Amino acid sequence: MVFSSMTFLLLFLPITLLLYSVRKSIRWKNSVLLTASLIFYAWGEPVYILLMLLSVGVNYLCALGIDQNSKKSLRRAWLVIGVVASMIFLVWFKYAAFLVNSFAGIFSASFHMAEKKLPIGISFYTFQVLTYTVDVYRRKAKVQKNPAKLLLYVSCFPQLIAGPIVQYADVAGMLDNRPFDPIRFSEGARRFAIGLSKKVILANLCGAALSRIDPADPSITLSVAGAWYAALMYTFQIYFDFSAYSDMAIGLGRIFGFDYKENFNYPYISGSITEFWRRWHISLGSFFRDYVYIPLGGSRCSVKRAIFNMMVVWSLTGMWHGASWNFILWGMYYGILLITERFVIGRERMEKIPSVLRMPLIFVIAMFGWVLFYHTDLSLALRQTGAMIGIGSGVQLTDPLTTAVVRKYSVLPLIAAFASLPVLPALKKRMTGRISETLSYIAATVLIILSVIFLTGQSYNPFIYFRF
Amino acid sequence: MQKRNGYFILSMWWFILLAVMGGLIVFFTSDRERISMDENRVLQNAPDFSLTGFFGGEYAADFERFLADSVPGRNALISASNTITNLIAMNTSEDEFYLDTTMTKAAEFGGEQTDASEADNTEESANDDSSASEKNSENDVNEQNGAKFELVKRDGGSTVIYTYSEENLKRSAENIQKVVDLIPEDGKVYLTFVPFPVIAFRFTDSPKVYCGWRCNHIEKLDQLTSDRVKCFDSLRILEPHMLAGERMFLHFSHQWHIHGAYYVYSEMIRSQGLTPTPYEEYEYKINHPPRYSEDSFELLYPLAPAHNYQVSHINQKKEYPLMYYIGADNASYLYGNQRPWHTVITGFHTGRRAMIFGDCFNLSFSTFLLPYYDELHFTDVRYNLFDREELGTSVADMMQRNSIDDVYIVFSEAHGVNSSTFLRAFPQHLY
Repeated sequence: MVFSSMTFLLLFLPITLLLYSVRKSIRWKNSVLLTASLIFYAWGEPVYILLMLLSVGVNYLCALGIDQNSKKSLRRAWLVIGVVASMIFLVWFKYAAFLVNSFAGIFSASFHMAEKKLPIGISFYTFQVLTYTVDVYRRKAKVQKNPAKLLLYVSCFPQLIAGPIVQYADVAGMLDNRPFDPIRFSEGARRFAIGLSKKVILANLCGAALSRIDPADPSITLSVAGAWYAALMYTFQIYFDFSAYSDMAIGLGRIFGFDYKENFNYPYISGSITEFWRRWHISLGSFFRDYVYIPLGGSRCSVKRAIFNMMVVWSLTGMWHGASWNFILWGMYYGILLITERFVIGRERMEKIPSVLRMPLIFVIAMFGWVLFYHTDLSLALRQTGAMIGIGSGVQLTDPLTTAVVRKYSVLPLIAAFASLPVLPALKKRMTGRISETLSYIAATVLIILSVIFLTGQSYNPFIYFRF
Repeated sequence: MQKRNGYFILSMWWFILLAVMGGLIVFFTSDRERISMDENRVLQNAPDFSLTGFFGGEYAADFERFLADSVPGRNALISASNTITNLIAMNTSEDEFYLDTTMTKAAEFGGEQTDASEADNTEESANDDSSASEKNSENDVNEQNGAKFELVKRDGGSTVIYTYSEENLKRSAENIQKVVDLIPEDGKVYLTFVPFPVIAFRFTDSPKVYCGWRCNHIEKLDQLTSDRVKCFDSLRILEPHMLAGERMFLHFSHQWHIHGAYYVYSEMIRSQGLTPTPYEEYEYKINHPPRYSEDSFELLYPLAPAHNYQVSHINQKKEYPLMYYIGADNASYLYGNQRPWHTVITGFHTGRRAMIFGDCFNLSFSTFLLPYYDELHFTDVRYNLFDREELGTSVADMMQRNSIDDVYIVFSEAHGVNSSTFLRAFPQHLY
């Protein structure tokens, strides 16, 4: 089920809210939320729920094993079992075909492994359950003896299938105590309304504009303007799509008493690549920092080792997004940029460049990155990149199709740019608290109505990030 | 604090109203078949629960479609959505037209057909590999003994535009056979489905990528129907002319060019052992649509001594002009035939009468049939155009009353094998 579906909005969410508020006991609330989360996941793809249960079950036992043993080697053995078991599921479903076929290609073997259907959200819940086992091993979190609570942490529907990646230590306390607060409820509902409208209106309109000049269609002749327009639309679409999901997840979390950390913080105003990744998919960055980069040695080592660590982390970050070379190259693209920024240019020199120049530059760098991210066929990524810089046979400056599309969606880039800049928070600061609060709720009401209007006119529309 | 409570109550109301809307749909939506005239399709009813459907994901998808199709005030909401979308546009009607005719996604213009590019996208979501998904869809089709319509790439690959399941092919064949049962022993049914220009231009405008197109659903239909049904593959007929640079489709309309219609007609007539009238023998005038001067099209004329009637309540005739010269597209021909029933008295005396089932693609085609029949009768069975009350009886009854000898079925692919027009409306209105 997706948040922007009629099934969720008109039936699932109201029924869950009603049942959730029938009784005040945390046991009842957890039971309702767990049952709802399992139905949410099972809706449309019930078979893979067993996989999630198995993954949680294995990690539950491993964490108990870690907790009950004081000997370091035994604790480590339980940790390895937990990590390997979780990763086996992820690798089998997501990467096995890619790895086997890539090796077969290298050795010119005729063997071909069919790709598996990807269980929804496997990348997210695998990482979440791993943070639990690792945190117990690190003694950062207490072991959870109640398997239902652990399952609720992993499967809690607001963040189940597209994040943010919630670390166990951050919500462990909330599994035991979540008093109802009407203020938090209304704030969560408002945040949900904003996220829903970002997805249904902005992301989907950007997607519609992009589909008109689909650069992945080899029969379309890309002009310079067309290639840039397509890149711009995808840049906005992926931001609104993913940040919308995070907004809805955080909002729903708040409604049900959970505090999830922010996942996006206006990334397109970043003045450096480092800053971009502090603002984009923050929970993924935190995961890789805490559970891969720092264990590898982080930056407190030789320059060579630090560069190696960064390339490993960024290749993995790319690969996390999908089993395809373009994702790995996309990760490495950012790895190289971050290494260049840190070891070649240096922070001081970066800061000397006026932010009015840095911000557009980083935005354009991100756009080129999204071109790579968009195309699983690398030759098409090269074609679009070439067209953006005017290289390629017969590349024209513009073309009638692009002109027509730009006119059809003429105001959309302006609205998208406005929505991706922190204009509203700045306005909010200038107004008195009461006026801005009231206005924000009026706006959220309008956005909910608009979302229902747009949803009615649209068909079922899954989120881009589900495939990860 | 009071204000804070106000926000809470307001946000509670959002969810209460959403729940009310959901409740209205679930408990008060009619079980009867609901048709959207604007979209020319049957709206999704509440799906029947089955474990197979639930585990396969079909139940969830159908249920979501049911809710989306049953939202109270759906038409008004869709209209509001379109209005809001248009508010952010600065495009002209020419831009709109240009986008409609150069759309890259066949599904967007292909109406109700099962669109392989959509299927590919679904596959892509899971696999992130479009080439693999093309292969998958091909395998699926072969496994199911279905058929497909594809553009042939120069590198040996192909892009699947439509896929046709075995079940839909069988149902289509059954519907065609129902028509065969209504005509005399010496009568025949001639059938063709014509692609939209947007697909044709995708092929001809990208000569570096594509070198042809092909389909096998027509062949399958031929195999599934009796010898009295003659199926004509318009792709095979038009391809050499398109590769030679002849204009077979219009840029300014979603129609085929009269030349394309002529080539298909010629082949149908030859199959009857007759000689088609050479195109040069027709008198025609060339029209240039005002805004799209690169496109020209030919209006055959005069069609007299034919007379043109709209028929209602079984036998009430109202005469209309044969041609509508002021108009600038193929609807100019046989003016007014997109109705439940329409009759052209050709003025020729051959002793035979023909019936044409079709959408607007039959218009330019049918003009060529005039010399071969005494009467041509037309019906447009699309949900938004057919009105049984207006006709006063069924199509089958009208066929019997008018002693139809031969039948021509000429639809665009949008109303072809996978469409509700051909699978549902066609048999529903026949009887």
